[in-house]
Amino acid sequence: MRGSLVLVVASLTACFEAPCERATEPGDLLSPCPVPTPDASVDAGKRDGGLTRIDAGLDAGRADGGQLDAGVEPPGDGGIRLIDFGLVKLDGGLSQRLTVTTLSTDEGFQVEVLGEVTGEFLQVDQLISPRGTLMASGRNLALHRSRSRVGTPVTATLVLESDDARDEWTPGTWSFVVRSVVQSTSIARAEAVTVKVFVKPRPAVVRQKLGVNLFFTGSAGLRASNAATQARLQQGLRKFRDIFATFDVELEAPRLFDLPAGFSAITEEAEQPDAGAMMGQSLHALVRESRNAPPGVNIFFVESLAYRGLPSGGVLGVAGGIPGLTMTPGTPASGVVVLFDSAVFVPMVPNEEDTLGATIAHELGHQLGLSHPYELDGRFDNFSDTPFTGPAARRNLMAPLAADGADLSPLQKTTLRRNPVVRP
Amino acid sequence: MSARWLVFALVSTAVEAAPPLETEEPLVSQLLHSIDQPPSKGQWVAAGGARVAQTLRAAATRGTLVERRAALAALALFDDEATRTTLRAVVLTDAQPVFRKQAVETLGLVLGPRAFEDPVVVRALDDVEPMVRRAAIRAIARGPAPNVRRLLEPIVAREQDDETKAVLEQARRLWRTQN
Repeated sequence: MRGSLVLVVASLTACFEAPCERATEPGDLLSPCPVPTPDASVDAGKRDGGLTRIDAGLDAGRADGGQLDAGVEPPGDGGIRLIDFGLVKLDGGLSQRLTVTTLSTDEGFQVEVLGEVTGEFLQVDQLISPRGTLMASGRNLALHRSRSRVGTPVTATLVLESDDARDEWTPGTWSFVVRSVVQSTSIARAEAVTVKVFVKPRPAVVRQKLGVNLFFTGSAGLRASNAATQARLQQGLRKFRDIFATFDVELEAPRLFDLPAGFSAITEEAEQPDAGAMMGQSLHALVRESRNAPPGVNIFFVESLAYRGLPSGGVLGVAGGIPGLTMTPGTPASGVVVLFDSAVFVPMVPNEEDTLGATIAHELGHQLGLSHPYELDGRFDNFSDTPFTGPAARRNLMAPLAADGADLSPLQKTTLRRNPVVRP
Repeated sequence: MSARWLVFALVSTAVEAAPPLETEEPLVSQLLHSIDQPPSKGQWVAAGGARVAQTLRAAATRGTLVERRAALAALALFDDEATRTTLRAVVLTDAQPVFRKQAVETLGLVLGPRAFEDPVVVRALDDVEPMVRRAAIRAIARGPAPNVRRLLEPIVAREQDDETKAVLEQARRLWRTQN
């Protein structure tokens, strides 16, 4: 017992006294580092610097539509290839068919679509695999065999499986359209959206890395300056790190960002036309603050998270999407928001554990492409190996109800590992 | 002060006497653990039956941290005088800032633009914990500009916490806009 205690103390010391520039244990923070504001951080323009940029074809009729020329530029950042379709016109809410050609050495791709009309929903739709299988169609998600989701004005779709729901990759030419869905005739449709596709080659190594950007709003007194000594945050990050280590994804040393005062409370989901009526920030405005963040997942801590008409406390966290835009910072779907409304964790019952670390991991599970295995309204995800009843379901990390487990099925792990933000 | 401790004593007695929520109301207990999909009113009623509001009021003062916080939030869907009494008791007596803040937020939601009339919400402007004060400012700021200004302007000068000062500034912009 004495030996265990000594080990724990040594570990904490190493964590809190790490020099600024030295990466320590993943999940540990660099305490004395000067903290940049988002504006002072890495130029967003450099984000694509390591990617191989490829001109994309718009029309399925073009033989070279979206075809890569991987030998032209040396790959960087794990060899992720960016296929930039630029501004894609929507005619009656529907784009032309877009094509992406992938190789047998790839393991998936993520489509990221950006629109600008509030109230509009965008979807990567009519996704057809190289073997001609329809992988996503319409808004019935139960029919989707990809991770396609209807999003807010921004959306992402992660495509990474074969067309028989196994985790083998189907190389060849994929095609899809972008569909705009509006709920009301009073909402004008976007005339064009920006479409980017990030193709991820299969990594040569098992162990991959994930960049982590932490954004602080002053919630419960938490700022970048005290994050390294904030015991509750540190414990949460260690839990998050340990969960991701179970599928061989190592967290890089987190980058810390302070946001200006006034961001600690989320009072709405989207920006309202009458912004003056708000006594807080919208969820979307907060996550847009990631605009200059370096590559990685963006995690925002707030003390109040009102969401869909309920006061804060009804939700412990929110993800930007399923998946979110993990490759494009500065959009409403570019990060996750986690409730941090107490500087200390005080158990209310014996043996109660803090849920902070598991909540971070759960929301990032969404952000990287995982749904809940089951929903309260009876729907299920589109994985064949996730439990949806009984104790095993409750132990799953992505269960909608917080329980005591952090299990992930093989297909869930594959999905997380194949998101392009996870790199060798 | 004596009334405050009387409420505290009543709540404490109820906590000691009650069986664990997970045993007594397993379905409600499960819903209280929702991570990011807050249950609808219909789902609460389906889980807890006609007495679900009473169950949530009880859960707001006992159980795990997650359960208590979620129950305090869900009570916004079951607003009545008994609910408001529970919320006010938490604001006045709970030792944990996280619950006082949560109760103020729910009170603010159910009271809407009339939150400035509630003495317990107003009293929370003087809470020792900045987070609770901020929740009270946000709740009160939804009211009519003259009333909001009368309550909040005096505390602008004495507030020392930066984040709280920023929230007061938001409120000030709001009442100026309405004027």
